[in-house]
Amino acid sequence: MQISFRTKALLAIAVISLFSSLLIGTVLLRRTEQIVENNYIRSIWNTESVSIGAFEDSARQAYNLAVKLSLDPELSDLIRTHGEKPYDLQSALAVSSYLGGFYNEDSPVEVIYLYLPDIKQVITSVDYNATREVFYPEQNTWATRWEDHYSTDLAPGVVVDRISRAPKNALTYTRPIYADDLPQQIQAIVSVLLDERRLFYQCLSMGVNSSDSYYLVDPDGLIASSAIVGEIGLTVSEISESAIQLLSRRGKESVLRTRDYLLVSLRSPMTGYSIVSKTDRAGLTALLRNQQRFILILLLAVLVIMLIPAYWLSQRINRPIQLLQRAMEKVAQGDLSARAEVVTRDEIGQLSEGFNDMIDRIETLIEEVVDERTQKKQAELEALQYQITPHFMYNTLNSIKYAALLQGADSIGEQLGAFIELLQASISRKGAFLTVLEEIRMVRNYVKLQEFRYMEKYDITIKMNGDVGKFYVPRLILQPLVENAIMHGESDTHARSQITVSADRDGGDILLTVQDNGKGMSSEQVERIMHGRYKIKGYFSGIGVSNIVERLRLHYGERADICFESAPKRGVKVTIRLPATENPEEYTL
Amino acid sequence: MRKLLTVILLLSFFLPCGCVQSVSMPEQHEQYTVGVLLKSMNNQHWMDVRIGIQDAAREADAQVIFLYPETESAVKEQRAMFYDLLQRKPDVILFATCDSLNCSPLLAAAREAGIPVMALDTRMVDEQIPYVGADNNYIGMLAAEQLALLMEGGGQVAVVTGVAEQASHIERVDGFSKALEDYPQIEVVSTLNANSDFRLAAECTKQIMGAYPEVRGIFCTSAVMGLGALEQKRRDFYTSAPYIVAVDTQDDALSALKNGGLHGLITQDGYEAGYKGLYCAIELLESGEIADNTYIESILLTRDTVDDYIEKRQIGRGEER
Repeated sequence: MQISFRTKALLAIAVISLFSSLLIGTVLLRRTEQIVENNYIRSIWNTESVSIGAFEDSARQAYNLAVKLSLDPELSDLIRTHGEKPYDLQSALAVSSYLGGFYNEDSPVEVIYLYLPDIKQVITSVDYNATREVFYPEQNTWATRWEDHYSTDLAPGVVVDRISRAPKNALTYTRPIYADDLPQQIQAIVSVLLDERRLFYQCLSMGVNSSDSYYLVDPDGLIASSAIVGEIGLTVSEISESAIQLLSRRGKESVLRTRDYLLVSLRSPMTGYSIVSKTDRAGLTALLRNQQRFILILLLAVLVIMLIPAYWLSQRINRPIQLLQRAMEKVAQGDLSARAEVVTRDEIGQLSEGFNDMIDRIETLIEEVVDERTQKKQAELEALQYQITPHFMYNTLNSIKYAALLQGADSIGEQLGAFIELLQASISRKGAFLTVLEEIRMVRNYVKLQEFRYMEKYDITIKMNGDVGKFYVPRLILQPLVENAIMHGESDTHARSQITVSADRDGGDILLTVQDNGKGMSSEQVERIMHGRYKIKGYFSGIGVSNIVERLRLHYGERADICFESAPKRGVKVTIRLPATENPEEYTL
Repeated sequence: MRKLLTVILLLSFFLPCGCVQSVSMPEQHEQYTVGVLLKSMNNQHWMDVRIGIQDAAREADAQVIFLYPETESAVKEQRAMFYDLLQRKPDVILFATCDSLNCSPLLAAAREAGIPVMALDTRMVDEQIPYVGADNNYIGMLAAEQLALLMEGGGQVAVVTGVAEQASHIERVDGFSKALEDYPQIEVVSTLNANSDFRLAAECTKQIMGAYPEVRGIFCTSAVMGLGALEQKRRDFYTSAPYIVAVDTQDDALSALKNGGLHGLITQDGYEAGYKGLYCAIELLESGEIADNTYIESILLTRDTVDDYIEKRQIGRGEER
């Protein structure tokens, strides 16, 4: 498909603009998205920082209390006292109220449990439920935990409190109490509990954005607190499959970006717990996405609108090229007068000017050449024609002839007559062509003169075949050849020279032949003649033959030729072939 | 060839998208975990220490675990907390011990766990580990000199000191006594232990005034006790005249100094101790060694110089915070 130069340029510009705009737009948008996200992450960390501080404070209070109780001699005494009378309510209540004395409204501690493994009894710090019997430890995971899983860790454990009226989620510090007198034996296990719901409202019920969810996660990845109670106790993979990665990082702060969510976590150094927030990424950047779409549409709209000025611009730019193209076409078709209109000064303008100059020069050159050629031909021809004889001689000789005749010198008069005819044929400017008949007559005149001059008789045989006589040939085309035959045609073998001149028709051509029986030329000499070296010593003086050859060329170009055949002692046969014409003007220059 | 170029051109369109750098996120580099076990949090001195540590931790990007018992005398609890803290495996521990005399087992456990321990604010007596805090001997000396200055002509002085197990108090009393050797006209008639407690200090003061009514100066080795002693004076309607010189610069003590209740206060900036303490801990972790003693500044404040001090401290803290 042929796409014009202008269209290509337009397309190229459109494509480049589109690509670069899209590129810039995409890069900018990505960066903006990242900035928005990063700012959001920082603000979440700030919020989480406050929450984790609050959580640590509560945890520390519970921990401190647990430590204190685990080393409290007064408590130890009360326990021992009660242990002696396990079913005495008084002593149990004494323990209970002692425990109860440790918290107030401000304390985050919800309840304190004291488990006495020897008597399988739990004493609580709440007065309405002071003691509970634990009959089936296996059924009650809480109790099992006490006996096997108390720890002195700084991290609280996540438990379900089934001692209270209704099962509640809680975090606990559970420590053993050793009797002073029996340091290896566990006297009791004290459990300080933090209510999960209260922790939730204290630490997790904030939100920069109501679509964010916050979770409290323990060091092993269990959800300790969450807005959805059902999630408590499940692993952190409930939040997101890869959320566990957040916890394994050593740094306090970590961020995880999944395809749909942004997870930001902050860890408490003391407890090892983390607050994890989950934000919907799409929502965060929803505004940005709208912007993105808007920009895209704007981009396309602008691009389409810009096509109009672009089209107009390309028209203007293309015009000089078009002008140049048109001029070239004209020139190719032969109109050398066509020129490209130069309208700009840029490269195209220079191209057009150069083109114009070139055509100018071509035109001039052609004119020159034509002139030259014509002049040259003219000059050559004239030169050749004038080479032969000046005009006035003819008149003078005529006078002499009449004088001779008047004086009775007939033979001289005759000769002069023949000579004058020959001269006429040579001088006359008009009519470069004679009929073959007339040409033969000239030959006869010439021979007659030569016989007179040399007092000899030549054997001249002239044959004209058919109607060849009526055709026109250049004048004095045969004379030089006959002259040569006479001059150099003496035979060593024959007493008299025999010269045969014949004229024949051959198709559209005329054949003129001059043959003698003289001593001939060597094959080398023939060679030389055929190659244009017409001067053969002892045979051709050169002027005559070259004269013929030139004139043949000038009149007939390639259509006439002359050929020489000879062998030593066999004479020379010269054949001229030229186109037959009954029109004397046909081959005139 | 041209096709290849076209493809490359198209692909280069996508390159910059990938090259968009994340915009200045906090680096996820190695954060040290510093365990800090203080004596309590029930007075401003320790709150200052805590803030100093927190500020330094924020700058040095370190994580800090704060633990402290309820009172400065809760030795057993603090010991249990130390072992718990070891379980957490911090990189280093800053320890302000409630009991300077019996730290060996704790330090041995720490060595076994491979966790270096530094003493903060209070030295250990039974073992030498790197210490960051006040030069307590020097403090005692400053107090002695101030009292000597105030008590021209000499007289009797008494000492009210804090928890007996704590090296800082012991050192201050030592420094005080040693410095007074240069002032033979001044005699230390009584040294009572008020366990760093306000009420006990008032009690002790009462005892002292009762036994030695001529006493002209009392050196309290902490501001809490100094205020306790002042309280006793107040109860006596200021009929007793001893000059009270104390140590620590909590706000209530500074006010008392300003309005003439106290006659000398020797600074030991808890904030500075905490701040320097954390940086020393980091340095120990990074370079493997730390000076044996890194002292914080202690100067004697009087009624005239206290305003300047407050101003400077506010500015200093303003920048640091």
